[in-house]
Amino acid sequence: MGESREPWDLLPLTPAALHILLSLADGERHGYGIMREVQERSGGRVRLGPGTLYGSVKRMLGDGLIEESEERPDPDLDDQRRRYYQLTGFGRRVAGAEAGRLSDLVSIAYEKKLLCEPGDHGLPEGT
Amino acid sequence: MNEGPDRTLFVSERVYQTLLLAYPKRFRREYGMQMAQTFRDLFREERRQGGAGRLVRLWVRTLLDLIVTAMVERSIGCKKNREVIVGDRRLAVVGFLFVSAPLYFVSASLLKYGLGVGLLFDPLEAFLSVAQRREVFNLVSPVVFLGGLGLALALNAYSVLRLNVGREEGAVVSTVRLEVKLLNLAVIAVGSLLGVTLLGYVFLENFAYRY
Repeated sequence: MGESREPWDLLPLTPAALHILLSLADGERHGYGIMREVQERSGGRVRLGPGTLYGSVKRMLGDGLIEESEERPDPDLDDQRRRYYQLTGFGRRVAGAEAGRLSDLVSIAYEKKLLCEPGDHGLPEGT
Repeated sequence: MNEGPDRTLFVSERVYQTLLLAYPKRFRREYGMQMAQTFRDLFREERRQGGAGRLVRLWVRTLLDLIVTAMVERSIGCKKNREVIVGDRRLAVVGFLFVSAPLYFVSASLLKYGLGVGLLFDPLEAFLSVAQRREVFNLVSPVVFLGGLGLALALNAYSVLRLNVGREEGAVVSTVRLEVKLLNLAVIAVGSLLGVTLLGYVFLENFAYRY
C-alpha cells in the first residue's frame, strides 16, 4: 500500500508518529508497550496519551507505516485481546528518512554552534 | 481492604469509557476498547507508584489529550463526510446529463403523440428531416440513449448501494445496504423509467404483431 510512494512524501513526521516508529523499530509492541517505551526512552519527557497514540496508530496504519501483527501473545503471559503492532518495510524506510532529515538539521546546529557536544539539548542548564 | 483502590480503578475506567463518546463512533468502535485498556494500564501503573497526586496528574493529562484528539478525529470525520457528499452530488449531476438526451426524446415523443403538443418534437423532426442526419441519428441514438442510461444507473447505484459479501460458517453471506441519497435516487428512478419506456418502444416497434 505504502510501497508505491517514496518515504519523503510523508516527511516531516509528527513527533508522536516518529516516537511510535522508533519504539517499534526493535520489535512488535501493543499500545501500552509503545507508551512505556517512549516514556522510558525520553526520560519521562514524552508521554503519549491514549488519544494521541491511537489517533496516530490509525493514520499510520492507513499510510502503511505499521501493521497489526498476526501473532497473538501466550494467553498465560498477556491479554489476548491486546493488539500488537509492527513496522512495515515502508515504515522502516520512512523512519530512516526522517532520522536522516533530523540528523542533517543537527549537523547544521553543530556548525552554527547551537550545540556543543553529543547529548547537548541546546537548553540552558537546569531545564 | 483492597476494595477501595479497585473501586477507584473501576469508577475511573467507567468515567473514561463514557468520555470516549467524544470520539466519532467509527473511531470508538475501532480503538475504544484498546484505549480503555491502555488507560487501565496507565492507572494501575500510576497507582502502583503511589500517591493521589500522580492519579490527578494522569487524569489531567488524559483529559487534555482526549479534548484535543477528539476534536481532531471529529474534524477529520467531517471532512471525509463532506468529500463523500460532494462526490455523490457530482455523480447525480453526471447522471442527469447522461439521462437528459433520452429524457428529451421520450418527453418530446409523448407530448407529440400523446397530447398533440409538438413544442419539443417539432424542432427535432425538422432537424432530422435531412436524410443523412436521420441515418446518423438512427445509428447513434440507441447507443447514446441506452448507454447513457446504463452509465447513469450504474454510477448512481454505486453511490447508494453498499454490497458486502463475506463467509460465515462455511456459507457465503451477502448483504445489500441502501443509503437514502435523494438526488442519486431521483436519477435512478428517472433513468429506470426511461429505460423501461425505451425498451418497451424498441420491443413494440420490432416485435409487435402487425396486420
